Formats: sequence, C-alpha cells, structure tokens
Amino acid sequence: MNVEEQLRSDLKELTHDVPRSLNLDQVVLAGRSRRRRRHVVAGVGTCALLTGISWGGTGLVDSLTTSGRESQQLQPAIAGAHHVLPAHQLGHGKKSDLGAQDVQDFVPGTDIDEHMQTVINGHLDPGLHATVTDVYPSDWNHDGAMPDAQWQNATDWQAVYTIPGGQRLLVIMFYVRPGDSCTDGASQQAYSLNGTYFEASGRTDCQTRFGVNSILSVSADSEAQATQKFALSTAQLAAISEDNGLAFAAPINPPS
Amino acid sequence: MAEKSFHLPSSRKGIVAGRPSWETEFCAFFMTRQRTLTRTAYAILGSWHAAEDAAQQTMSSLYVYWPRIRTGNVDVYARRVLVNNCMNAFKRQSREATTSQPPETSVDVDLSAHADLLAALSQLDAKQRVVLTLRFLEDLSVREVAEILRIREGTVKSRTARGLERLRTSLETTTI
Repeated sequence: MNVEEQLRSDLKELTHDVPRSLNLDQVVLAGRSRRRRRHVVAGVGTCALLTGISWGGTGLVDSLTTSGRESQQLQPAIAGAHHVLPAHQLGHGKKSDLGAQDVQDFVPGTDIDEHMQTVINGHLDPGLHATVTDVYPSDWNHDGAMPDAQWQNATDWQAVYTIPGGQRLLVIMFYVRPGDSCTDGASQQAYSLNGTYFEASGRTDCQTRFGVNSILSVSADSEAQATQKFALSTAQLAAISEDNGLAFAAPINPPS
Repeated sequence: MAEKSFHLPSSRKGIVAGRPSWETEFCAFFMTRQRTLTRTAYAILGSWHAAEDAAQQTMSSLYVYWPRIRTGNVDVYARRVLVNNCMNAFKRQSREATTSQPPETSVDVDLSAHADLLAALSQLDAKQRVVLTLRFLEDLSVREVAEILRIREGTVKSRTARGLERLRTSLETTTI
C-alpha cells in the first residue's frame, strides 16, 4: 500500500465515527441572529418538519417559530373584552392608559402590541386555548421582526399565536408599500406548501393603503385533514382581519 | 380549496407565514452534509471539538447567505467557508501555542488508533493538510480542490506532492 492509499484509507477510518451531530437549533438561531444584524430576518419553523418535530408542539419548536425573535416566555392568551381603540386615538402608539388587560408587553414603549392582542383575543374562543407567542414590529425591508426600539418606523405589526393541534395563527397589520399594487376590499385564500396548509383572510383599503391579513396554518397529510384540523373557520378569520380595531398609525419615517 | 385573490404585503413575498421559503432546502442540506463537513474539519484540525466549532460556524454562515448561494454550487461554497474557518482556527491555535502548553489541539484527540497518522499530519503545514484532506478524504479532483481554494491546479499538485512526501517521511520513521 503506497502512502496515498494508506492516507485515503486511514483518513476515512479516522473520521468515520463522528462523536456528535451538529446542533440544527443552534445553527439556525445563530444564522437568524446574523441575518437580523444584516436586516434580513427569517423564521425557522420548517426546520422542525425535517427533524421530525411538529412545529406547534415542543419547546424547541416554540422557541424557533416566534418569527423574528429568540424564544419567548410563552404565556396563555386569555380571550378578554374586545377593547378597541380607533386608529386616530392610537397616535403613534406611545404608552397610554390602556387599562389592565390580560395581554403581554412584547415591545417596550408602545401599546400597539398589547392593543393588537386585545382585539385578536376578542375573536378567539377561550376553548381554543390559543397562546400568543410573539407580537413584533416589522417593515418593508424585513422578513421578520425589526428592532423593537425602531417600532415607530414600523410599516407592519405581526402577532403570532399557537393553537393546540399544531396550528399557528399569524395576524399582520400592514401598510402597502408605495408603488406596490393594491387590491381593494376583503378576500380569502387557501393554499398549501410542503405539507403545511394555510387558510387566509385579508382586507385592504387602497385609499389609506392599510390592510390586515389573518392566516391560519397547520401541518397535515391532506387538504381534507387540514380542513378538519383548522380550529377557526374562514368566517372567523375574516372577522379578525375585518375588525376595524386592528389599526395603527402610519410610520413617522417610513423606510424607502 | 378555492383560490381567490389575496393581498400579502410586499415584505412577505418569498415567505409564508413568516418563514422563508428556502429554509426547507437549507435544513435538507444541513441534514445531509453536516457529517461530511465535520469529518473534513476534523481531518484538518485534529480535534473533534474544534471541528464541531468550525462546521457549526460554517453552517450558520451558509444559513445567512443561503438565499444568495442556493442556486449555485453550494458544496463548493460550503467547503470554501469550512476551510476558511479551519484556517482561522489554526491561527488561533498557533497564537495560543505561544502562550500556553500544551496546545489545545491535542486535548481531545484519540491517539490510540491512529496516533501515527495524526502525528504525521500535525507535522504538515495547514495548507498542505487542507489539500490532502480534500484530495484523499473527500476524494476531490485537483480541479475541484483548485476551485474550492481559488488557487491554480499546479499549486494543488505541488502542495499535494510536498504534503505526501513529508507524510511519507514522517510515517517511515514510525510505522512504514
């Protein structure tokens, strides 16, 4: 055996037994953190599908599916009174006397996150046991959360809820980016991607260029199974997206 | 289910419900390549601990740039990033070696089974170890190694020849 053959054989044998697998969780969290610093944030949930974990289920996945943040302390959302502030009263969202609510403060310095939860909670039956996992500001240049401190420049606000059975409810309040096309009115859509089924409802006012989308998703083997799993009907999703209480003032300094 | 018109804000294009559409691809890549990258890093660095760090860093970098690199030759890019991380680890080790003894590289190496090879490899300079690892562990051609390292094929050949010669000499004094 010459030195090349010996080297080839020994290297393969030497490295054959890799003691530990790399940690996908850490890789993705580190990647997310670095992408966030580069102003390109990404969610992580689909990784769970490949590692055999349902993205509504475990603590690991809960920590990964918060769409734009590191893991949060999860607290159950309690469907409370439908406390609605009209948009003009929200001003630019500074802390106000919103009153005691069973909602969480995800973004310091503003009531928009609490207000969003209050409105959404009003549409969620307590029997659903929906849990709010995150509420965060975003803008046209971010695929996920923007830094909390910049919330005054947000063009989007997103609230993420998990519902037992691996369901996830995402509610997005947004301003349509200047130059983007705008379709006036309410609409519904159902679609699927890689085994995840989505039921969505939205409304957009092209005069104010403001809109709200509510999107329910679940992993399922088939469309029929997904339909069976969905805890909210199209009408209930529409009731959320068409609730005029979901509003926030346009950003002071919108991004370009 | 019926498809009806639906507006998503522009910032959501390319993602679904807050998740980037490319993430499934990245995870698939991670699952299939993590072992290979860790093995390569170990052959270069001689330490499982350092190899895991280098491979983990490499995967994180790949995640960051995945939307941009996914349509190209990801394996070439991955190996290039891994080699850079290994070279950086080498630099850190050599700095540490001047201030602390023994060097960290030898801490968790299992010397029992392949002590001669590890000892011989440790005599090579970092660039030679990289080339020999890519050529003989990953079975890459001279052209492929040149592409990964962004060097000329002639340089790959000369580093291979010198590395093998040095390895042969080292091994001859022990087992051969």
